[in-house]
Amino acid sequence: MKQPTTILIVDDHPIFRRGVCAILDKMEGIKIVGEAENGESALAQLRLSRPDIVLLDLAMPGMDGLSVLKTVRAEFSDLIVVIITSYKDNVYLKNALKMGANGFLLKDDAGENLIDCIHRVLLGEIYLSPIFGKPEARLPPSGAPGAEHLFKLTRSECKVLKLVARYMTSKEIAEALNISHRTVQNHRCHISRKLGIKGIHQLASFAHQHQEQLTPLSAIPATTNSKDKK
Amino acid sequence: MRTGIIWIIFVRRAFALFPWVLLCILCLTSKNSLSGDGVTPTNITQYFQSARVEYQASSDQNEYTAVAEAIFAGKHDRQFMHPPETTGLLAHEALWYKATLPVDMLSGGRQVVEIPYALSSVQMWYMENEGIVTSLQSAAAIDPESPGGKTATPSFLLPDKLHQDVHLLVRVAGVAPVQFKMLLWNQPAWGKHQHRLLVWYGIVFGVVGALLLYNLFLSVALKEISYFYYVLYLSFMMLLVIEISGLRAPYTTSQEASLTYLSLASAFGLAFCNRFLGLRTLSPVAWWFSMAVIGADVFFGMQPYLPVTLVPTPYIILGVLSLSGIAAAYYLLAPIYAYFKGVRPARFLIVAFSVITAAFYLYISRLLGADFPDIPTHRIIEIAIVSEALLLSLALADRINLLNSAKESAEKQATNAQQVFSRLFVHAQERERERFSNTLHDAIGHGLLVLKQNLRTLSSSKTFPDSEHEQAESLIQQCGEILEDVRDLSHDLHPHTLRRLGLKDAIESTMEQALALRKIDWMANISIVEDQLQEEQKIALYRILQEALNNILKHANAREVILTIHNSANEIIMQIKDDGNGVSAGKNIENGIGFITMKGRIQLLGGWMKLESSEAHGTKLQFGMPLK
Repeated sequence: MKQPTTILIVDDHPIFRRGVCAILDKMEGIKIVGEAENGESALAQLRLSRPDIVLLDLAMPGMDGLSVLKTVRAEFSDLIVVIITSYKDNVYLKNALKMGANGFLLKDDAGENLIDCIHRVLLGEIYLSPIFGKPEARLPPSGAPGAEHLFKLTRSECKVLKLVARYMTSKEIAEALNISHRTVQNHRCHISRKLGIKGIHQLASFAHQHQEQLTPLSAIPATTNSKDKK
Repeated sequence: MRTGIIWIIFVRRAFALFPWVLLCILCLTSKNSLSGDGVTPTNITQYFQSARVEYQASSDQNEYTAVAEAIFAGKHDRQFMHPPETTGLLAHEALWYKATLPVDMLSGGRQVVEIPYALSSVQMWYMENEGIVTSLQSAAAIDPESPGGKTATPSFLLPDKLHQDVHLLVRVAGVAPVQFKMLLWNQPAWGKHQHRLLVWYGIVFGVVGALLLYNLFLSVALKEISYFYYVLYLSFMMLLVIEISGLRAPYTTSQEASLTYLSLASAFGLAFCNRFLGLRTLSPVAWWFSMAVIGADVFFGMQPYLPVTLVPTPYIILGVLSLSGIAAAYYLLAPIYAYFKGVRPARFLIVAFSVITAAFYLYISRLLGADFPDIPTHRIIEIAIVSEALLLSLALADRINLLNSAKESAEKQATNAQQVFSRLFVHAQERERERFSNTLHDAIGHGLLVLKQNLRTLSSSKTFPDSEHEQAESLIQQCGEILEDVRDLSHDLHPHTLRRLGLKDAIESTMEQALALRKIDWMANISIVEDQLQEEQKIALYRILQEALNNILKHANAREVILTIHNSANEIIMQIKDDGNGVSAGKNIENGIGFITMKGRIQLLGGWMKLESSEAHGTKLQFGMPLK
């Protein structure tokens, strides 16, 4: 018979751990090897019982989930880590994924989705609670927009982007370039689309990082760039 | 408000400087008044012989005239001799001086006999060869054509057109033994000399009078008794100067007044010294000693005015003089003692009292016969009193400064204590909110979560009636809504993201949640090393941002919000900019609770807040606080 998948549950709420146990007990081939109620205890049990999967809560007294994740990733490279939390904040998800979590499950839908989640992560997939959408969109972009995409921009767009890099409002940019407010916003939309960037904040930080490359581009004479005339 | 204070300080400084300028003028004019203008008097001291006669206090001038007649007639048994044998005057003795001036000295106009300095009352008689004895009055020496004028020194106008030798007799009843000096003047030259001296006294009294008025005003304004003692002390010193100069013409009264002034001056001087230096607490022994001296001084000083004579006049003289000596020693020693005990303004007193003591020492030494050819001892007491008045006034001004700075530092300390308390308070508040937040999130949040889960399990069980399904779903949904509310409340109470993920993520998360839903574009450029910030600084920045976002959402109608946090050399600067319709001037939003909270938060950490706003460009809020 195939070796059962071993699981460690880390959560500071006994009632929640009991709930998780009740769900997992119904699953075939799953064995719960331990429960921990804080980060320190979790690490000790991980070292002792070497489970395949750890279900990790984020908010715990003392050492919290993200710190455990950080240590775990350095120590046990093939351990599957599923974050189970009540925090919906994108920023936790972002950080957890950056640190190498395999799943991010919200406690609100754990009842329905826990089993599905375990199956998926065992297959080597990244699992996220449904409200976060597809995992691909959430993963840190491997091919981040680089300076090479900048050549797609028109001269006016470059000018706008250069000012976006300085964290100016569109009103300020409009005034500085003597164009309409609406035009600036259109430009910004186009730029984001061309560079594949979501949100003004991301666009600004991207532009801020690539300020040097923007300077020569926005200085190209108008005649060489016919797109400007549309 | 601020310029007002600067003006007050300036006027006070100018007041302290102004007397010094006058003192310089004073020294120059004093030199002038001493040098004369070519017409010099003849020193006739060598014509005089003196004799000691027992002191007889009397208010009747005729009694002395009778003695004078007896001496002129040779019916007196006293031996008249040349000085200095006669300088050892005791307190109960008076000195009589006798001289015969040859008639050829007296030719060429009317002559005036002047005694340039004394410390006592002086009377003079002259006898013509016919044996008629005439009493001379000092005031009568004034030019008859300018009535009402005053002589500045005891001066006696001799009769006109003398054809024979003149016999003079002078009685000096001194509070101290005197070195006698007589000058013979031509009347016009003497008149000029007197005018110069009167100008000199005018300046002296002007300066001291101004200082007295100024300090009297301060004593009332500040309700500080030491200023009042200063005024009394110097007033009696000035009265003493009037007594020992010739200003109190006719200059024939007894020395009682000068004794009273001297004793009261030393009494108030001691009181000033005690009060100013705070000797009562600094050295109670010295204080009680000085109180005894003050008591004795007042007793001796007031004795002549009491209906009952408790002490004979000679002993009053002795008493007052010895008390003045003790007081002078006290003036010198007490400030030195206080200075070494840490009373800084005592330095002015050391200088002031040493000046006046030295001046009296020189003056009295001169009277006793010591010769200081290069020192203009004639005017030294007046110069000393002016400088003392200035120095003590400065000392008082200095004390105001010290008291002010002490008060300021106390206030600063109080403000600091308040600030520390406020910081602790804010810190405690944050801790408590964190506790509430955690309890809400964990206990209540998880309870609701489990409740919701159990409801779901229940409703999906086979025995659950289908008719109740809708009801159960609605309950589950309600549970979810309450759960969301609890979580929002928990997050509002304490930003868990800040502690777990740091400032940058917490701020980005907050801006995303607050703004993205309302379709407001936002950018955040946070270029600081978070390790440089203290926990309370991070919380402050976060809370300020929360408040600013609240304001923007409520009032600004903005479409874009841009936040930047960066640090300069020693400051963290946060800027929150929006493109909304600005803070309209009429709304007085700067006094709104939101702005006050933001400002209070930043000021607690030693920072500042700046607001720029216009309808066209939106609002720009800037905050800065020192890196620690």
